[in-house]
Amino acid sequence: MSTVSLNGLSHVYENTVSPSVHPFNLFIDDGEFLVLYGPSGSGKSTILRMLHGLEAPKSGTILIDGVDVTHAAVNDRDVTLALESYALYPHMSVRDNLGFALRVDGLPAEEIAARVESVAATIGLRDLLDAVPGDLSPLQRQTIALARAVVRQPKVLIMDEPVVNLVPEHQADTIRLIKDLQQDFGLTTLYATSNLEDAKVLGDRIAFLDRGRLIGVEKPEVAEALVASAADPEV
Amino acid sequence: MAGSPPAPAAPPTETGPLIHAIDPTDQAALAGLPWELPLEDWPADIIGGIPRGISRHIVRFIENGAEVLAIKETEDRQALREFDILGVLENLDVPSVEPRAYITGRRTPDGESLPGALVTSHLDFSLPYRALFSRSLAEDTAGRLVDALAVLLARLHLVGFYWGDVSLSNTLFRRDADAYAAYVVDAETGELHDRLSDGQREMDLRIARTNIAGDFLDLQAAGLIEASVDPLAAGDRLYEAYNGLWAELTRVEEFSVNERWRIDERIRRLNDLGFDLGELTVTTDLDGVSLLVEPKVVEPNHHSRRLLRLTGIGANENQARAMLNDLDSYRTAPGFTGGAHGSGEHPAELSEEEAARIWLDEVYKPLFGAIPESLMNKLEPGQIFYEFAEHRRVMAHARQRDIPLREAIAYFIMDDLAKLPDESRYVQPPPR
Repeated sequence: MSTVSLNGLSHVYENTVSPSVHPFNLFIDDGEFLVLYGPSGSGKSTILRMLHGLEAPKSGTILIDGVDVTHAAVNDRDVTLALESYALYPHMSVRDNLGFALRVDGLPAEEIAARVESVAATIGLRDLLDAVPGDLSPLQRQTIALARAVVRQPKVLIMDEPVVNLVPEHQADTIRLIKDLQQDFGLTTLYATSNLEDAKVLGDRIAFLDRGRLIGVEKPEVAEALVASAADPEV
Repeated sequence: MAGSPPAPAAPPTETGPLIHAIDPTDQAALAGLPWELPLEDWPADIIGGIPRGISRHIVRFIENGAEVLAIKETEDRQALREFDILGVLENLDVPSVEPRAYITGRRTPDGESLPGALVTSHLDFSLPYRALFSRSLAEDTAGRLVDALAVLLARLHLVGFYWGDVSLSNTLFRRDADAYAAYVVDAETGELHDRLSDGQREMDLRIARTNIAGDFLDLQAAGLIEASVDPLAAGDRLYEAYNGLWAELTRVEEFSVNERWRIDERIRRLNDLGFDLGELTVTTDLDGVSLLVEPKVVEPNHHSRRLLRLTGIGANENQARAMLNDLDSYRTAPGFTGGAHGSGEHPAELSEEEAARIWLDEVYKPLFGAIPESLMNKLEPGQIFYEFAEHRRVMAHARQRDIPLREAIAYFIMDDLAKLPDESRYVQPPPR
């Protein structure tokens, strides 16, 4: 669990003049679920990509637990993008799927086994550890896919519109699943979405973005009011 | 029709799909398929095969006249996105499958929505990584596949393409002399940028390392490689091969002004790696003591282009390199007089164009003229030539004498080519 501090952070894409993200400050507390909310082109994905190390900021700093990682390599940040892919390895058991990234990261077998057991117990899927993905329901497969990121115990978990390509009947289930898992593990999480209802369900706070500018950070209870005031300058 | 916009979609019927095809004849052929059924339920009589290996989507092959098309089920907007990306990759001359159409608005007869679909050409003579392990006992198949993937990844990164899901499963391979050439087959997670950041390149490598380890565990589960093989070693080799290549392609070097010969050396090293230098920036420092040399444009297929220019033959890079070696040795062989290789009495030096013309007439054409049509689907022509040259070399070594061309051709066809499996369309037969 960790804090994230984005200080004067901005971004300009190559061969463009106008910033894709204007300088802003944002602090995300230890274990907080912060939603970046805004329409397409608002800069929410670019902020996640800067935090992940995929885009270099034009200005500003990124601190994780007070350590400056602004120019650190992707592998040295301990930031994990969850639900990059829902695909599980069909030939591996749930246990091996969950532990796979840890194995690639070179963790000892005992630690991998302990972490997998712990995560499976928390999410209530211990009975399924020896099953293969083909035996699971779609929601169970998504649970495993999400747990794969959690088991790495990253300092920061990020998600970029992870439900947008799911069929509608799975979207609500997945949103609930994400919320439950984040609360169970208390991971500091940043989540990008253009769906206000999802943002209200998920976020401890919602950061509102519009055309690359951070226009406010609010609790979900007052989100509607902020959206209304942004839409109507007279309000 | 690289990058051509699709023709207007066929008009929707009450439950019918929208078929967006580049070629109107594809439009008509695709319209006859049962889009109202999930791909998994398509009747066996129209399925030409199913893919092998790990796939997150349902994929089926169908025969369309003389060719094979691959159909992948995916969400509507993903199908359009990948169609566009593959079109751009094709325009950028990156090895990838050719997009042919995408299908949206699919519904069952009951009106229930179905995922969209992406249609691509099947890449003839391509093999999925699993097939190479199941049919090849060649030493270091794994290493050579990973090296091919490293070259592909470097080429993608040079044009600003972030793949986002690099894996052996998302790649097809063609034999390329004693190596492989890799092709992008699944680009749905890809992004095109003006230039990639170091973070994006690093992320692609990180994803590749994990995915390749998964691919190797898949091979172990299928019993295609020994359980003792370390699945992580291949990912590490990719890092090494990619980083070495990337450094050579992009590194800025500092030379003393009287070391200009080192620029020629750099160009030669790039050529050896199969790249041409399109543009080079040379900057002299303020004191005029040193030069900063930076490759600005590097282009792949150095040997393929030279072979094409000299002979009109299209071949993969390493196949072309092998043919050019044969051609060059033919040109400079002592005793060459324009007759059969090595049979003349007076040394002669030919221009490369002249040597190429004679090599075509006296080596290449006799070989392919002797191969029965029924065996031409065994391998790509460039690979057939490479295998023939290897066969002739091994024969000569075993018999401790030069093997005349026609004798070598006869033994090659009989002992080697005829016994190979047909690799023009390697797909798994559908379950009946």
